[in-house]
Amino acid sequence: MHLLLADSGGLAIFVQQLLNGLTTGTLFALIAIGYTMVYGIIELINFAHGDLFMLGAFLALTLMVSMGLAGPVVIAIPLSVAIFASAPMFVAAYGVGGRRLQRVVPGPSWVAGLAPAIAAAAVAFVAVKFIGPTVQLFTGSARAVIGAVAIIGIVGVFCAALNLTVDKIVYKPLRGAPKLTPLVSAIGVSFVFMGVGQLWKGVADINFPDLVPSENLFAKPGLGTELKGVTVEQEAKGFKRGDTITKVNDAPVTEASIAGIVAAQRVNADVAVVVDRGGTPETLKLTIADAAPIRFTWKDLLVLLLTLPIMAGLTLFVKYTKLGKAMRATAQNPTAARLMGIDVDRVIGATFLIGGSLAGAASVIYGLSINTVSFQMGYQNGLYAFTAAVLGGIGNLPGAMLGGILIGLIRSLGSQYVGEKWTSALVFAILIVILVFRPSGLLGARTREKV
Amino acid sequence: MKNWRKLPWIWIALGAFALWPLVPGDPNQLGGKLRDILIFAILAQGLNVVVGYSGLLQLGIAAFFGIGAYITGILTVSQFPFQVGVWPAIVMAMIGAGIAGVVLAAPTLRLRGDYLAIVTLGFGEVVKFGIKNLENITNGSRALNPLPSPWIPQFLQPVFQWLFWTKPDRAMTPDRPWDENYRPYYYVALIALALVVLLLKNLENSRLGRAWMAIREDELAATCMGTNATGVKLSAFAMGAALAGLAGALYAVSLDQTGGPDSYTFNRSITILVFLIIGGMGNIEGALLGTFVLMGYDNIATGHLDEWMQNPLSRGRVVSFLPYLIVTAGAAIATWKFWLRRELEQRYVKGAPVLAALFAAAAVLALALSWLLPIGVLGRKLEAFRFTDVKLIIFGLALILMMRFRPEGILPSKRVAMELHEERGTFRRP
Repeated sequence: MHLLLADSGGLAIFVQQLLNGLTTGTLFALIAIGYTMVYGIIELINFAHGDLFMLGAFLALTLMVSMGLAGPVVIAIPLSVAIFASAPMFVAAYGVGGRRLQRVVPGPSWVAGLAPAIAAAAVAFVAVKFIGPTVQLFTGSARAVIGAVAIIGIVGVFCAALNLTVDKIVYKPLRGAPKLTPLVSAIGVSFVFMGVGQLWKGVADINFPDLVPSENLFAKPGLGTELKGVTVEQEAKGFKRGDTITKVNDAPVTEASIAGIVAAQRVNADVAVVVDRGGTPETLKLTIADAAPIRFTWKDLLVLLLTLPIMAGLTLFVKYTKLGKAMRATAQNPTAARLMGIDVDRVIGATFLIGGSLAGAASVIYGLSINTVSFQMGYQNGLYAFTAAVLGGIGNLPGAMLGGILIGLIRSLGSQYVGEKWTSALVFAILIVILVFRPSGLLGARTREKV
Repeated sequence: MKNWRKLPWIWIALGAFALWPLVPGDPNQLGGKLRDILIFAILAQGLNVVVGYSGLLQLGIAAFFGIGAYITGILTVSQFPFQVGVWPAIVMAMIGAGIAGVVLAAPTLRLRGDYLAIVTLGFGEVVKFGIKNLENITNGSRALNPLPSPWIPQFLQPVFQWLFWTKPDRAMTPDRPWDENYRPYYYVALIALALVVLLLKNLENSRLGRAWMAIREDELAATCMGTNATGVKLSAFAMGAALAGLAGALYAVSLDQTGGPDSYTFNRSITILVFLIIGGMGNIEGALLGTFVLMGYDNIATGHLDEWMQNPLSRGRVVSFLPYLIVTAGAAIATWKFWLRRELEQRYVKGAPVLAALFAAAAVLALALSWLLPIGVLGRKLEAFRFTDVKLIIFGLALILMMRFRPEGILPSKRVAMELHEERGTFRRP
């Protein structure tokens, strides 16, 4: 029997929803950053970003199975997956390293591009092939932690390389074309990604391995108001009013010791309570429930512990490093940036790399905390993340973070106070209202249309 | 033959659609699919007014489609007291959707391009969830049904029956005469589409149509010339929404029910946009061609291709597949000869076409081999291959390639093509 007894008052519920909103919101923010950075620099709504996130989650799932993190190892990584995973790196390396090598290597350009590409493919293959067995040398939570870190790393690199590859192949030839052209290409890339995801894992929802425990960090074991005293005052859960409790877990009790015995138990453990109803004493088996007013699990902690430093680091990166400065300059005015000697193409490439790696990291964190993935998750979460980016002012980094957290809060508070089924409509309705009054988003600069 | 381009192709095509049901021995299923294509062609025309003519990126056309369907449903089903009959309901659906378009557009038109796009997208989602959750009005995911059959005057009934039921394979039931086969709604959709095309053909060169295009090309210049930009944009939104409402009404009527909320998702909006872009934006013929080709592939061809893949060697299959093969091969050869080859050679090195041909040949060979031998691709047997499953990938690749090599679409409007190739200064003939 499960006794839920936390007397969740209005404030506790509110704080709980704030926490929930914050954790989902930071995830949205992490994806939204990818949208907003790309938009800031080349004014492209990268519709494929959400689906990149989905592919990252699928790769993570495959890696987990091969590392033995999702139960027993069913298959070693098939060669096809390794090739598939390394293909984008292949192309990315071709694009990045090939140009430099072309100056020294004679012959047609693809010969020069091939060397770094083969190197990248080899690295990818080794990583995919040998990290799994390495992880299996460990046991218990060490394996989980090392595995999760390795997966975040691999998936981050994969998504970054894939994003860069798409930029080099699809968007780069369209620079300078009317805005609708790359936008439609992005929709096309999104379709391709979604189709690949559908072929890869099918259309059904898939369970993501439950690596992180969902235990409440603030867990407070308790049995309920009816066990406050030796004499039961409330009729509930097998107890009758006037029952006298004589023993808990074979220990004779007084009013004071019940709380102590219960508190010493773990949440979800069982206790045997003996009650005296005048006749023969009767034993009730009860499960200790969580009496804490607020649930904050390891999963929530994981999300915050990973996303907040990433966002802080990114902000510092953009603010203080040379590349970050170049990014801001390019976002302000690409032509002027080029005149100042900034390699705009390199900056754009770096933007796609960073955005992609964030999407990859977000996908693993999402999988670990939500535990369900499907080929449509990219579309759904991408829509929210994109809305977040627009809400904060697209092209604005703090705006994306603020927007993401706001959307998370709107969703969680909305599901509590308006109704679960209306949350999505609420998000978009609020978006429309905000855009009507602040057409450039919350933090976006009010720009004049250039003539 | 020199002026074959100038023939009224659009009317020839619609004429062919009008004659097609007269061919005896038709499969009813195919007729229903063609009817859907006609209805979605109207929707594409509606979107074309907003995106193609006026250059306003509208990502929520499915919302107006759904509003049209549900207004028709609410005004006709027995569950509600209105029951005005189908014809007035269709007109009301157009008006209602048009008003909804104005209501959405009026406060949001001052937004810049991408923000307008996300607002229309958000509106689409709000409408979808509204349809899903306002269960007292919309029945939620059970949809409103059944819709009644439309009224026709008494003296037309024999004509009607003679037109549609003379074939022996169809029984007559007097109470729901419209549902016995696909033909009545097929012709309603066809006539509606013809009227819409006629309307837009005339609007194109009218004062309003020219104002729409002027706004698309250069809003500032158009405003300086005295065009009322807000009014023009509002009228484009209203017109697009009204046409979408008409399509929605016809869709609901032809299905006898309004379809659940899942018929009016973002996916639908994007699909229609894809039809438009592949076909050729800002051009009536282009929008029609895009819808016919892509929806034809999606709804009709994939099914046949899949059947054929399952059992390639039976003679019936080969015969049924031959027309597709001939059409596809013809289209491929024509594309190659007239366009792709020159493109590739102009843009890339001399050997590029050969390389592309080699890749294509290798792909075909691999496909054929893995199909003949029991080997798999990515761990899957090719027998399990379905064209339906790779639909998204094919559509996506088509979009990417189109944007790369011919951003104006298959049949572009001359003006759009000129805008897209501004940097070259000259216009290439399509």
